[in-house]
Amino acid sequence: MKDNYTKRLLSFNNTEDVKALKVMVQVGQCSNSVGAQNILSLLKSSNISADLIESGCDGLCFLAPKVILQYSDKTTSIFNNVSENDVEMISNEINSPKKKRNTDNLATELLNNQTRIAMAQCGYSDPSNAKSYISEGGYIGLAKALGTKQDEVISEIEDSKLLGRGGAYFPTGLKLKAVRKTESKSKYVVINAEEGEPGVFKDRHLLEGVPHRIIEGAIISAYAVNAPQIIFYINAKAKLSLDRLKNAIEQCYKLNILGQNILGSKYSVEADIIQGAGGYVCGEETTLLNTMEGDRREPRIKPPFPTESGYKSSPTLVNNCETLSNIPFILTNGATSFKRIGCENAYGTKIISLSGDVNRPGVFEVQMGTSIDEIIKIFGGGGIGKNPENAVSIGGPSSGVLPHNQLHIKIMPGRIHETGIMLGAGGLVVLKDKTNVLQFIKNLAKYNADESCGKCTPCREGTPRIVNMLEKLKPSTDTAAYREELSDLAEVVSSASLCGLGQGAGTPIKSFLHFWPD
Amino acid sequence: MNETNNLSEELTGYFPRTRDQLLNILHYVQHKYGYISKVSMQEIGKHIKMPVSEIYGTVTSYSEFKIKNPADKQLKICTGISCINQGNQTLIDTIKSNHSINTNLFENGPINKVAIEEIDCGFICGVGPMIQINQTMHGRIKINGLKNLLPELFENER
Repeated sequence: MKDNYTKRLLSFNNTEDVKALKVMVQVGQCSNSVGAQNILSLLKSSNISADLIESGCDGLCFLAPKVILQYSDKTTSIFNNVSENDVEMISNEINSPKKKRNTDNLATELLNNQTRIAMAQCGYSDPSNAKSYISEGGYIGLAKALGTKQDEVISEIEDSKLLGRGGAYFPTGLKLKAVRKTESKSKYVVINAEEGEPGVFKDRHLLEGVPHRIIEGAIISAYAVNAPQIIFYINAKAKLSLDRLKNAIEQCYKLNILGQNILGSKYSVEADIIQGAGGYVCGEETTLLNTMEGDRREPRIKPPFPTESGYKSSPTLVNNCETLSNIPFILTNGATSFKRIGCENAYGTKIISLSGDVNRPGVFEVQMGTSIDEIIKIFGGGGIGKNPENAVSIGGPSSGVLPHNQLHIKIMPGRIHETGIMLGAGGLVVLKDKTNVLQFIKNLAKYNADESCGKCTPCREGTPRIVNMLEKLKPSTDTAAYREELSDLAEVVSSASLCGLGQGAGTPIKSFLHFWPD
Repeated sequence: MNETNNLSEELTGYFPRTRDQLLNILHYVQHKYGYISKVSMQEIGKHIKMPVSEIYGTVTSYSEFKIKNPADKQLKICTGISCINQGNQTLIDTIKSNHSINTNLFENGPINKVAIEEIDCGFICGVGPMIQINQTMHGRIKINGLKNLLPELFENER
């Protein structure tokens, strides 16, 4: 049986119309803002004899816009920070290639230093072509899964000890098991691509670069829990992600990877997309479900958990894009290979969104257990400024700020410091010097107060009070008693709030008071 | 608002009459008219059998939905944690302190034909700081470059 699915999959491969040279222009929402779309249309209108592919971005944002020439012998020439003036030079290179390849050592080095599982091929394959994804080994994980029993798929994922990458790091295997064992007429798999956290832009890269990997992960988990319906929830601002995903889903229907009796199996599954409408709190899973049902963005009281009663009161599996992108790897290569990556009790990789006052901002996939210092120095090229004493905000508004002497801390699921600082969704924002920290903390507090949905009192009343107290924090008022009051307030908001937004809202304050006692 | 009178009939062709379609319908209406008016909400209510009050509740709960007619020109400045730190705060201060630009724009939304909006995050932090003029995002904004751009944007407004 197993062979049949794979055979069927590989029969889609057609290697006939592959030209000798592939030209990839990395077009993403971020590279578009610095002119990538313009470069693409200029190349389109210039007379070139090659396949022109609109790929996603590879995550090296500081080098965008980027054009990559891939020759038939798989060698590449990379052109970084392309401007309109470079287009002529590039089209000359395409039409009469020089012997010497223009390999950019920095880009290649930065890519090779990463461990890319979720982002593998991101930026170097055609997101609008399912067949090219299949030829790179895509959907093999799905074919394997369809040939195995559903419980075995779940136990493989459980064995890999994969943790949810949305920020909560809940074991994915346990979630799958819970939905699987709940009896119900209808079940749903919801893909959380809200990614409303400022400073995080990894899921967009995945959706724009390798949408098929997310779809594959989603279908595998839907098969494992026996759910007939997949719903993708996409952030309202991620227009390009939405287009690319829509296109990818259409192709899957054409190739019978989605729809009735997929790949000739007995399993049928449909996929749908819902576009969000903004709001940080919507990334919280129960709020997300409320939003999908057309209600206000407010969290639900847990229990019941979504695994028992979620979307339309049916058992619902809610997973983040990045989590799902790891599942095809686990199914294709086995849980043991997955556990070779990362470190003890934190297997696999994490995609880090690096931005702020840093030389090389971008998206980098690194192994769990890498230190923050390494990420900033090796990938980020160090902080900007004469005085390299940078502070780093990690995990966005629900987490805190680490001073430069704490950067040896390694990235790990969950809490990474006693003040409650967490890795979260992996957003790292580098701050130039410590004078900015108070202003930065004020901004975070203000953001949390604005985004509070107003459902529970500690968050609704507490977050504006924090903002007020921070505004008044001046040398004259900065006494031990005032600080203690602020700290107590932060503690109350953190411990008494209903959902993750409120629970995290106190952390920036606590970390600030802890690390900057003066 | 003549154009929205037939909205409920129009929706029948596109959307099932269930409540879970609300977000999709709202996106459709906003895309078509630029905002969601009271008449539109009544029409949507007819279609999915939901009280207007509840639709209003949902619409005003999300930052993407607008209930007023948007200005012709929109300048959106990213105030995400990465951009605000890299120069967008200076930019906002400059605009607010520039006497030729009415600071009411920040507080009251669209007056005249230009609206300035501080947005939470544009999610292109890798190429920040960013601003958005109408639908186009601009990354790696240098403050001086933008100062030159502002008079052009606000031309014919005073």
